[in-house]
Order: sequence, then structure tokens, then C-alpha cells
Amino acid sequence: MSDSYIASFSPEILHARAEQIFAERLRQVHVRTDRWFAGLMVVQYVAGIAVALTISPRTWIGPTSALHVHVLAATLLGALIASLPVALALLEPGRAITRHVVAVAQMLFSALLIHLTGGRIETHFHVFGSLAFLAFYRDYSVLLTATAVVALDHWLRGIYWPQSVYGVLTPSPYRWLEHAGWVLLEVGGLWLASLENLKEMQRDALQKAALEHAHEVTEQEVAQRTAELARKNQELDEFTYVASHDLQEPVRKLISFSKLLEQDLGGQLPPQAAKDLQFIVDAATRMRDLIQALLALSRTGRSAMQLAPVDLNTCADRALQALELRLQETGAEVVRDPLPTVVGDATLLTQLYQNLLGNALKFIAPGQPPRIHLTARQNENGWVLGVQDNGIGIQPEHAERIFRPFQRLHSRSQYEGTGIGLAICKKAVERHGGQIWVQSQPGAGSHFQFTLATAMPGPDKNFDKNLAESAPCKPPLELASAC
Amino acid sequence: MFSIASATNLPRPARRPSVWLGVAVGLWAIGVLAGLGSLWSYALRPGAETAAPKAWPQASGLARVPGRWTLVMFLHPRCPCSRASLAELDKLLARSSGVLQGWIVAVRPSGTHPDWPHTAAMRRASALTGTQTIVDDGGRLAGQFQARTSGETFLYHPAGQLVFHGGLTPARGHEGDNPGSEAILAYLRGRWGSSITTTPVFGCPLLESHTPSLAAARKPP
Amino acid sequence: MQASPRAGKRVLILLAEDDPGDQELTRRALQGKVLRTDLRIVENGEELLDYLYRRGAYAAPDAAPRPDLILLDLNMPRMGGREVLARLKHDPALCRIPIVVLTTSSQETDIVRSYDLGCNSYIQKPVDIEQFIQVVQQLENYWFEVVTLPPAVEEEPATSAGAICPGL
Repeated sequence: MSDSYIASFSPEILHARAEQIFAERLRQVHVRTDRWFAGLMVVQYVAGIAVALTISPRTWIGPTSALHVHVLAATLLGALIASLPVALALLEPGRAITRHVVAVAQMLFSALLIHLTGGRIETHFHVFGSLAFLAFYRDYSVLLTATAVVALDHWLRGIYWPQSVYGVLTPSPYRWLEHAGWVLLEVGGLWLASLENLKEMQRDALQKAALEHAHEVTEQEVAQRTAELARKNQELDEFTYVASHDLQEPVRKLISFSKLLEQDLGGQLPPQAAKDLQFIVDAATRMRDLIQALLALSRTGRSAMQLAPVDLNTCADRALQALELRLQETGAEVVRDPLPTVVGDATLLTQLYQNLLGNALKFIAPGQPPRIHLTARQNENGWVLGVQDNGIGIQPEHAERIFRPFQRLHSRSQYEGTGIGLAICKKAVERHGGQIWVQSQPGAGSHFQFTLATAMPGPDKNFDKNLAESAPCKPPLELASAC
Repeated sequence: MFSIASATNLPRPARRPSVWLGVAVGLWAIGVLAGLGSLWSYALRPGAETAAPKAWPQASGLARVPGRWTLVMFLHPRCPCSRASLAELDKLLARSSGVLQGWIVAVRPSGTHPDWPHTAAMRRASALTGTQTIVDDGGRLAGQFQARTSGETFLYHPAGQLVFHGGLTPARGHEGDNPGSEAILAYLRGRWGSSITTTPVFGCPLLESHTPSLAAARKPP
Repeated sequence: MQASPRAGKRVLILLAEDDPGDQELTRRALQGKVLRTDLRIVENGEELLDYLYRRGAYAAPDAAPRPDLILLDLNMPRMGGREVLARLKHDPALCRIPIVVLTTSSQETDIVRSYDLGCNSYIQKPVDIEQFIQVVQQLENYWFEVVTLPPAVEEEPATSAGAICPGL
């Protein structure tokens, strides 16, 4: 994420959040380091005892020996030194007091270990090592505390046991500076490294805050757009419904009065006029059918979905029942795979099957009794259901068009219908969170397949109280002609 | 960018540091200081002060090479502090360029078995060039020199007088720069005055305080 | 078939319907019958009340003869059919007049509510013109040849106890 992009976000909120993230991360570093030091304290404690037992296990007066003070010191004083930092690391990790106590204790362990090993030069390296470890806290004040402890140790011994500090009775003042110089060099280096590290953590925190923000913004936008899209869809369905509904009345009048006109004119109508009138009536009738189809389509989009476990066999049965006459007329044979029970709206699903079966019974191959197969199979996402026929088939290049409203592949003289049936099927399937498609070749029949999401999308907002007509599993008879 | 200063002084959870915590830290600090203090006290407790023979005790049986500086160091073979003294002696010998003849005496108190003084420290002592290591059975030699503490060292001028008497370690069992080594080196380099330099000796007592051998070996200087 | 007490007298149907097309269709459907039916038309609920209470445009004497049957459309502008139905059936002077709801709505709620408010029957207007004419004629036949209509309240006051129509 580029810095200029970050800069475009509101700086106060971003920095506040970044500071939060940074503080939390730093706190975690402190807690981790505290715990780590607690372990180190224990190790140093044990090492101290081991050193005392190895180097100076017993003290002698002539032939007799006793336990050396060092062993006692390593065990008791070591435990005392380690006690508070370990306790604080376990009980109050991450707090400032804890790491300062750790720093003090660590330096005290240096002093103890140096003492136990008799002032060995190599043991003095523990001091520098400890300072480096303390730098893990990334807190310069901790380093200062440690340095202060070392300075205090030198100063106190300088007062009470001067010869212990440098061994010479008149120490050269420059020795002190030399010691101080080395310590300051290391502390300075560690502090600078710490600062660099902290700056990096800050940058990371800022990046993370910006990322979070961008996410939020994106999510909000997505949510907004989705809501708007849903709203527009609903508006469209509403509009379609209202328009269709209001259009129905004048169309009815058109048809009625055309017929009355016919009656009024009786036999006195010249054949040309009669034909004209017939065309008017036909057109009006067709308009009525189209409006009713639109109405059906919008209802499919608008009606409240009543979700319940639905046995698809029942829906198929009801659909077949509504098409009983046609089944008999065509001598159709229907076979089915065992259909599952799914969660969905029974009315919509029955309507879906009715439209697909209606099509299968309409677009039949001449000279061949229709054979319809209701298919069902499972894939990793759920059920794939289908209606397969041995009818006239569809050219693959039209496979997508046919699902659009009013798209017809044949003229009205060949097959009747408004071209809305598959659009209704598509809407019904989509409201169940699924997809619908067709596999077909001309002359080889068609297999219409659809999926239904087994998990339902969120609560349906398309609830219009005026459309409470959809009682569960009522066969939608008025839609039978909608194909 | 927000300041690092403000971030290292973390916005910590608003809990007042409890009084008990402060008390605990205070007590702990006092405790550890006292502990370390007493450790140092122990380490810097010098051995018994003695009146060393100002002239080479002839009756000691130790041969003194005339014309050379003679150094005698008494060690408790098992005292851990002896190691530090030996280390300092080693450094000293390295810087003394051969003008020094050293005697290292391992004192074996009566009542201990003959192998008692043969420790790693004494083996190391034997290996030091320019020195000879002997065992002082019963502490007779120690009595003659009035040596009471492990690490007690005597330096005699080539002419035979005592010029230095004391320890070569800055603290019990500690190596490091110490006034004793400094003084000896000064003497060896020709800078010396008329008084005897003494430094405190930090080490275990060579013998038990009232051993008969000590009383018996006491001789007027 | 029992002859109505008013055999020979012209019967008056009051149609409350706002759509001119439906007005015309109803008029045409009522023509050509043996029984002579007069048809008066009002266009909304307020006008219906004005007519029945003989006020406003219908204040003149003999301007609004009492109808024998009211055909009521539910979906009218201003005051709709449902409100008027409630008003009429709560009015002791008018509640006796049979009201047939003749409307396009097939909503269950409309049907139930209309009956609850006291309509005498509910007919859904058929879409097809021929069926519509048939229904109207059956209506005429039923209400004026089969059914015995009640006398006017002025002639025979309401009985008090237990009457659904509120007594005077």
C-alpha cells in the first residue's frame, strides 16, 4: 500500500488506530521478553549454584572444612535475586516495573556470578551479554536502569571496599572513564538499534491500520452497493408488478368491448371489418397474456419465500397433476430419479417444475411420444436436479438467451406461449441461491438442470403483505399458461 | 507520525501500581543489597594479622639464594582462594623476568593424611617456573614465618630483609589488580623505600587457631 | 318460483362503480330482460351516501328513490366500498337494503371483511365478457325473482331485540 494512498485516509483516526496496534504489539514484546527472562533467571540461578559447587564448594580452617559461603550465597541470595523478577514476570508481565526489576536482577546476577567465579575476566562478559538481552525490551529506560545498577555497584564498593573496585589504592581516574566508555558504547549501540526497531514497528502498525481501514471502507462500499442493488431489484419487480396490474384493467375492457362490438354489429359486418375486428381482439388477447406473464414474473420476484423442508417429489407430483390433460393428450411417459427433500419455498419449486415439464410437453419431437426423465444427482456443493426430455432440442448458441424474459425461439404459429416461462424458472432458482442451465442439441432432446443452495441466503426482504396468497404447496394454476 | 517517546511510555492499563508492589520491590532491593554486601564483607575480611619475621628465618630450612629476591607464599592446598593467589603469582613471575626465586609452601595440618595436600591447585603451583613447591607438614614452616592465612606472601630483599608481607589478591578468592602485586613489582624494579609494605591477606586460615604445632613453632622473630 | 310482492313494479338497482367501462358493461348486461330493471349509478362512496340520505346533489324530492338492491364495487376513489359498507350496515334506516359486493378483487381478506361488515353476498367480476353478462343476469334473476325483498323501514319499523341491524 503506497504512502500517498495511506495519506488519503483521515490521519487522526488512522494514527490513533496505528498507535493502538503499535502499543499492543510492544506490550506483547514486553510480555514475551519478561517470560523469557524469567526462564533465564532460573537458568542463571542453577548456573550460580553449579559454579559455587565447582569452584568453591568448601571453606577450610586448617584440616576442617565447612560449606562455603559462596554455595550458600548462590542458593539463597541467588534465589532472592531471582524471586521478584520471576514473580513479576508471571503475575504482571508487560508492566514497566517488571522489566525494570528484571534489569536490576540481571545486573545483580552478573555481580553475583562475577563474585562466585572470583572475578574472572570472562565472567565480566555476562554484563555485556545481559545488556544486549535487555535490549530485547526495546525500552531505553531499562538499559539506563541496568547501567545505573552497574554504576551504583562500582560506587558503593568504591566507598566501602575501594580496593575491590580496581585493586589499586590510588586508582587512576581514567580507568573509570574507560569502563564507563565501553558500557556507554554498548548501551548507545543497543539504544539506536532499539529505536530503529521501534520505528519499523510503527511503520508496520500504520500499514496495518491503513489496511484495516481500507478493508472497512471496502466492506462498507460493498455492503452499500449490495443493498442498493437489492433495492433496485425490488423496485424493478414492484414497478413491473404495479404496471402490469394497472395495465390489466384497460386490456380487459378492450377485449370485452371488442366482443360487444361484434355482437352489436351482429351479422351486418362486412367481412373486411370482421377481420379487422378479429385482429383487434387477437392483439388485445395477446396483450393480456403478456401482461399476465409479466405479472407472474414479478410475483416470482416479489412474493415472500416461505422456507421449509420441501419434498421435491411432492412438487413434481403437483406439477404433473396440473399438466394431467396434456400428459394424456401426448401419451407422455415420466420417469424420475429419487428426488431429495430440500429447504425452499414449495410454491416456487412447484411452479419451477410445472414450467419445465410444460415445456417438455410442448416442444416435443413429431412422431415420438415424449419421454421425460426427472433427474437428481449430488456433487460436492449439493443437489443438481433436472428435467430431461427427448423433444426437439435447442441449438447451443441459444442456450443462454432462452432464460431471458420474452425470448422465444419459435414463431407463434409454431408454438404458443409468451416466452416468460424459463425467465420465471430462472428467477425461482436464483431466489433459492442456485443456478439454472440447459444441455441440449437440436434433435437430441434437452436436459434442463438447476441447483438449489442447501444453505439459504439471508432473510428475505421481499415481503409484501398484499401477496399473502401463496399458501404452502398450493398449485399455482393461474401460471399454468405462462410458458 | 506519533512519537516513539509517547509509545514507549505505553498507554498502560489504568491500574495504579499497588502499594504492595512498591513495598515488595523495596524490601527485595534491601534484601539483595544486604546479601551482596555481606558477600563482599566476607570476601574482604582479611586474615589474622601477624608479626612476620623481618629477617630471613634461618631455622626454616628454606634455602635462600643470595643476590636474588626471595618470595615465599603459604597456601592452604584445599582453599579455593589459593587459586586466585596462584594466578596472581603466575602473573607476577611472568613480569619479574627471572630476578625472583619463589617458594610455594603447601601447609598440611597434622591429623590429615599424606595425600591431603596433593590437589589440583598444588599441581598447578608445581608447574610454575621459577618456583619450588614443598609441603609443610604440621605447619612448622608456617609457624616460623608466622603465616596464618592461605595466600600470605613474604618478599625478602636479596640482602635478606623482609620488604613485603601480605596477600596478592584484592579480595578472597578474587584475581585482579591488587596492591600486593603492585608493591612487589615496584620493589623488583628498584623502587623501594625503607618501610615494609603490608597488604591484607584474603584466604582461609592455614591451621586451626590453637593447634599445638603452631604454639610449638612460635619463635620470637 | 314465487313471484316477488312487487311483481309488475319496476325494481331499482343502485350501482356504485367508478369505472365507466364497467358501468357500461353492467348496463348492457341488465338490458333485455323481462323484468324491468331501472339502473342508477353513483361513482364513489360519498355520492352513494348523498343519494341514500337524499342530500347534496340528491336533495331534491324524488331525485333519489330508494333502491331495491345495491351493487357495490370495493375499489372506488375517495370513500371506498369497504367504508361505505360499514356505514350503511350500521345505519338503522338503510341496513335492510341488500348489498351485493361486485368487485375485481379476489383477495381472501376482502371477501372475509365484506361478509363481516354485513354484505349479503360477494361476487368476483369475471374477466370474460360473456361470463360477466351471465353473472349479472343470474344476479337479477336471483334477487328479483327468487328472493323476497324486505319492505322499506319506513313502512315496517325494525324489530328491536336480537336484530343484527341496529334497531331504531
